[in-house]
Amino acid sequence: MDELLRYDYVTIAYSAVPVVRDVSFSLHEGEILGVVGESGSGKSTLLKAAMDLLPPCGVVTRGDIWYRGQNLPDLPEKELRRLSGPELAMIFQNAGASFCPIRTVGAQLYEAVSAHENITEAGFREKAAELLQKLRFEDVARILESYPFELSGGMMQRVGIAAAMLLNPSVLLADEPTSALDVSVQKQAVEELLLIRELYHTSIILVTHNIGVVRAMADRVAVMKDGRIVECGDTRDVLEHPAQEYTKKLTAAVPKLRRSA
Amino acid sequence: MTTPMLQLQNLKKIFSRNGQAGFIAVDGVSFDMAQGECVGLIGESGSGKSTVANMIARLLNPDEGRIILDSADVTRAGVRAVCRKVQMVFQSPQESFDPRRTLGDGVGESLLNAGKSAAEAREEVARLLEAVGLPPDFAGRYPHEVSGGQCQRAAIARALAIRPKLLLCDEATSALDVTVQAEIVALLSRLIRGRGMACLFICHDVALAQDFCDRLLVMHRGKIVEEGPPDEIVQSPKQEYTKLLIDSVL
Repeated sequence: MDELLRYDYVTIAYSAVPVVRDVSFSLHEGEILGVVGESGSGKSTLLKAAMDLLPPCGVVTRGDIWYRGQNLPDLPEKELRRLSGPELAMIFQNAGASFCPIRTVGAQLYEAVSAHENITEAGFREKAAELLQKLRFEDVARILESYPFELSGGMMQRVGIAAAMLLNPSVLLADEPTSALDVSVQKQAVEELLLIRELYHTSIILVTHNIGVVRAMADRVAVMKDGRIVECGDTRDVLEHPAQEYTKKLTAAVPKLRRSA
Repeated sequence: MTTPMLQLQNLKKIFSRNGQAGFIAVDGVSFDMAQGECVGLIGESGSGKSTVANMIARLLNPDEGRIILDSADVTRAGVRAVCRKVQMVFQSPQESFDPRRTLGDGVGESLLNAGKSAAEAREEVARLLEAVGLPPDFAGRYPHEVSGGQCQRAAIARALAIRPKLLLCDEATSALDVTVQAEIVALLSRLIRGRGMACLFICHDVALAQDFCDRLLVMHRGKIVEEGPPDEIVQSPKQEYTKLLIDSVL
C-alpha cells in the first residue's frame, strides 16, 4: 500500500497556544484511519490544517503535512484550492448546513463539479445519477431536484458524503460524519462510507468521538488526548487491548449493548 | 398493590401550525411508574420522547389524556404545582442556567422559593454541590466558567435541591464526552437509588439505557411500541421497529 498523506511532527497553535502537539502518522491508499478522543483534544484541528481551514488565529507552527510529495501548509492558496475537491475532500458533521437553502441540491452539486471540470449540465446529471445509484440511493432524480429542506437530516448527510465523491478524491477527511445522526441513519452513513472505500479505493481519515463507529469502520485508530496521539495501531488491538491508561479509560466509558444473556 | 407514583393515560399531543391540525407528536401514550423506579424512554429523534417529558413537567399541555401524579390529577396543573415533585435535567447544561447568575444562585433558587432563608439556602447549596462532586467555590462561578460536565453536575444539584419524587432526564448525558458521560451516569445512579427517587431517563443510546434503567419503553412515531425489562428488550425484541433500532447499534 502506498503512503498517500503523512503528518510529520505537526504542531498547530491557536493564538500561540498549541492545541496539536508533535503529531505524526500516515494514511495509506484505501485505508480508513480513525482518530478518536474527547472534545477539545485536537482531532478536528488536524483535519482543518490539511485543508487550510484553520481559523485566522490558527497556524501550523511546526512540522509538515505531505500529500503526494507536496507540503500542504506551504502550498499557495490557489494550488491548494486546485487539490481541494479532486484530491482531498472534507465532510462535515452537518453536511446539510453546508448547502444553500434556496437552491436545489442538483444545482449546487453541478456548480461544485463545474468549478473543477469542463462538464455540461447533462453530463453532470448522468455522472451524479451514476454515482448516487452506485451508492444505493433510491429516486435519484427527486434528490437532485429537491431543496435541502425537502430532504431529511439523515438524507442530507448521506447526500453530503456522496457530493464529496463527485470529483473522486483520493482522500476523504471526515469530521464527525455520523455524530449528528440517529443510530439507524448513522448505520446507513457508515455503510455508505464503507461502500465508497470498496468501490473507489478512497482513503479516509475518520474523526469521531464514537468508538462504535471506529470499530465498525477503521483499519487503524489513533487516540488523541490534549493534542497528542497517545496510542496508534490496528483498531482491534487498540480497542481490545489498549496499552495506555487513557485508552483504557476511554474504551471502558463506552456503554456496550449486552446482546446475549 | 400500591398506587403508582405517576400514571399517564392515553396522552396525546398535536402540534398545529397556523390553526391547522398538524403533526401528532404523542399518540395515545400510557404507562405507570412506581416509586423509585428508573424507566428508560428510547427511540429516534422526533419520536415524541421529549414531548412526553415536557407534558409531565407541565411545560406543555396535552390535547387528550390524563397525567396522575401521586394520586392527584395534574393534567391541567401549572408548572409551579408540580415542580416540588418533578424536576428536569436537560441536554445542554450551559443553556439551562441563566448566564448572568452564578451556579450557586441557580441551584439555590428553588430553596428560596420554598421559603428557606438565604443562609439556609447557602448551606444547602454547599451540601448539594458536595453531593454531586463539585468543590464549594463553584457556587460563585458562572455557567461559562465551568466545563460541560461540571455544569451538568450543577444542573443535577439544582434538580435535587427540593427533593423531588421524580427526575426527568432528557438526554442528560448525550452532549457529554464518553468519559464524562460515564461519571455523570454513575453519579445519577447513586443519587437516584440513594434517595429512592423515580427517574424517567430519555435517551437515544440503547446501550446506556440498558445499563441504567429498570425498565425500557420504546417509542416510535408518537406511540410506545414495546416495553419490558432492558435485557429482554435488547436480547429478544418483539417488534420490527425495536429490532431495527437494536440492529443499528454499532
